Amino acid sequence: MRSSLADYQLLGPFGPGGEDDGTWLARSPERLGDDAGTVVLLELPDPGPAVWPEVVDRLSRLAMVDHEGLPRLIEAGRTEESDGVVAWASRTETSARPLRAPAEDRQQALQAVAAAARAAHALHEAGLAHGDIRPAALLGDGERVVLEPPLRPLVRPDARAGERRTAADLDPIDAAALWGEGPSRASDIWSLGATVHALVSGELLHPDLKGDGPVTAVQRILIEPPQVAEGLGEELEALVRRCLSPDPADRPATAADLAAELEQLAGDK
Amino acid sequence: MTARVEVLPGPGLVIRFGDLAVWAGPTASTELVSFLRQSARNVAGFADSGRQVADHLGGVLGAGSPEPGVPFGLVGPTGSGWVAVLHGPVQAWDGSRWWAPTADRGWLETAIVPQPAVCIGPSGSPRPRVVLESPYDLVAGMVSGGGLLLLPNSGEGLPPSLRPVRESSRVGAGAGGRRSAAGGQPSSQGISPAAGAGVGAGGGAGFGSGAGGPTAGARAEREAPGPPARSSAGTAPAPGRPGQAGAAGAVSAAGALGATGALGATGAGAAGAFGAGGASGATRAAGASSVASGIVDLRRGVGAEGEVAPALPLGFLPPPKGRPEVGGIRCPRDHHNRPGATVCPWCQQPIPAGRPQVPGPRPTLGVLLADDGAVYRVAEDLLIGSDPSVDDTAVAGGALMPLVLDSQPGLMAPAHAELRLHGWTVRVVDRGSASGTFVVAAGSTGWTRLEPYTPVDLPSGSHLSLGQRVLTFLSPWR
Repeated sequence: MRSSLADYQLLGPFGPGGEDDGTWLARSPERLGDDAGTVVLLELPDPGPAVWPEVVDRLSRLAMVDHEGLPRLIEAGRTEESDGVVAWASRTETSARPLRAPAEDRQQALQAVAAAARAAHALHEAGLAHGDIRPAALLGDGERVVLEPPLRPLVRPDARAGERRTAADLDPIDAAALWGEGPSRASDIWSLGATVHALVSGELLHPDLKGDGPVTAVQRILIEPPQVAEGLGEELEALVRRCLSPDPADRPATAADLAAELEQLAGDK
Repeated sequence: MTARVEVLPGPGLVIRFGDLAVWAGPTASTELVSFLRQSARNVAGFADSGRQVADHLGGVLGAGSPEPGVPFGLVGPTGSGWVAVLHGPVQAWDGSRWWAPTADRGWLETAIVPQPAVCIGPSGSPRPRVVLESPYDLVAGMVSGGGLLLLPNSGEGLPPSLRPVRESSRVGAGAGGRRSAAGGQPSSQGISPAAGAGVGAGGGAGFGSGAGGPTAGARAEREAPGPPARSSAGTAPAPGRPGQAGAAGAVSAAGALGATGALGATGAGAAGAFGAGGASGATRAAGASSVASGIVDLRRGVGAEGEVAPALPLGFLPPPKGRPEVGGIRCPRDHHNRPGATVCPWCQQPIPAGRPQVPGPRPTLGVLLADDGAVYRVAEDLLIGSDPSVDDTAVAGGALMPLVLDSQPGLMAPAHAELRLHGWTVRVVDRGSASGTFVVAAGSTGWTRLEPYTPVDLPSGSHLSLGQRVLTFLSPWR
């Protein structure tokens, strides 16, 4: 494993993807003063020097969203060995890790997705869609949950709308976001519904995806309707189905509305 | 010459001598233009020509601007970086942030880091599109122009801090250390045409009578590694990001690096590799030689007084403005669909027969699914290849969106094939590639090699083969 990236000391991969994700837990340098400490470091795909200003602009817009459910962005830069690096710090303890499906506790799962929905709403109100909400994008330390910042979708330099990932990562993507103009309020709400579905049921919405290659998996997501697992409970199943409705008019209007309903369900149980 | 200067369209004048580039707005007086031009000529041969002119202007403007409200700006080298002076309703874009004088002060001097370029022009002008390999270059002289774009290149003679990031000897990005905006040699004569020797090149009349070169004290201040380099003047509202006054100093590459004492600094305190500050520092701190070419501090400042972006609309995003209009039919939710569609792919609502065709912005026509699982939207014309940006005019001009596909060396041309959108139809065009572009239509089994530069319709389900990569085009209207 590499030991350093720029002047950050790498402590280990961050997230389920290991080193391939290009996401690291790292110790930041002393020059950051009060922000020296353990942070998450993300290597970005090559945006190209001409696109870097645009990337910086987008990162700055993201950094402007100050919400307790979102990590703080610290800095971004380019190095000889990486075309782009972004450091960010979680507002939870550094022990925060991506959630795994299924969650051990249903109530905690509902509260976690509610927190993520409120963070997503803050992004939406700032004119940004997340575009990559999935269980692994929810970082928890046992007490709080923050939503991983949507860095990769923000820095895609070309027409790319999605990239090869695991079936579990592809499953929560709203096909309409791929067909259409990209992530939106409606597609993020779809993904939040898929995320709570995965965390509570442990099932994918396209249950056969796991055996498929990436091309087949994407084709199935684009074409096949999702299947909601049994056992969610009547109210949660109804809420998940609304989130997954093909017509965005039938979904919760905002992620904040969804958060309120999830909190209500969490409080009822 | 070590930099390229591109003249942007619009009213005004662009002056370039050496690596010092100046833009003056159309309201600049003949005297001011003459002064700026002569100043640039006088210092053209110096590695710190920007520093010299900035010092002199600082002295002049510090005593009160002779032409308040007149837009002009310059950018030039300091010997270890770049400096910009902005006066009146003018703005500079460094690839990361807008810089502009505050209204009350009226002018601004700031260290600036081209990322990869610096653009100077009138307030309110849009952010420029930077084309790295553009052939446009004002080598020397004065021409009409509405702004300028300066790109340092990788040529010999550039200070290490300005070389491209991939050069092994890169030592941080950026301009010199702190420079008091009011520093330099004051002049009581205001701006007047120069005659005689250049500033710092032996004294003499310089830019204004009585003005001389920078003092030893001023240089000592610039070269000291100590205090943060945040610009107290900060930035004023600018297109796209209004209201980030002051804060942007912390956000810009210059401010961020300077804040740590790293930007262009020479002291040990600048040892952070990511923040740049010297190759030795990088090696010591990180055990590697990686150094940032431009670091952006995202921690503070942004957002405090920043632009309030409009919230996302409810539902899906509509096609962005500027898409061509095509005749289509509307679903009950008012989504624009291809004529003949029976179900809206966005909301799954049935579309009653007999709906009239109406014009509307063309939505995304589908996706290209790559053999590695990557998905590419087909929303505008695409140029596919290993390095589509080689086509400067089409890609950089925005006519074609680049789609970079990796392949084995020699198999994929840099600009291999185009996808052209015509109405609701997607067409593929081989760009005369050596290895060819092949298509197998949906329902067919054999690959057909395309004739170069001959468009062929690409129905949903068709496969494309180029450079031993396979792409499948899928349309939501099936």
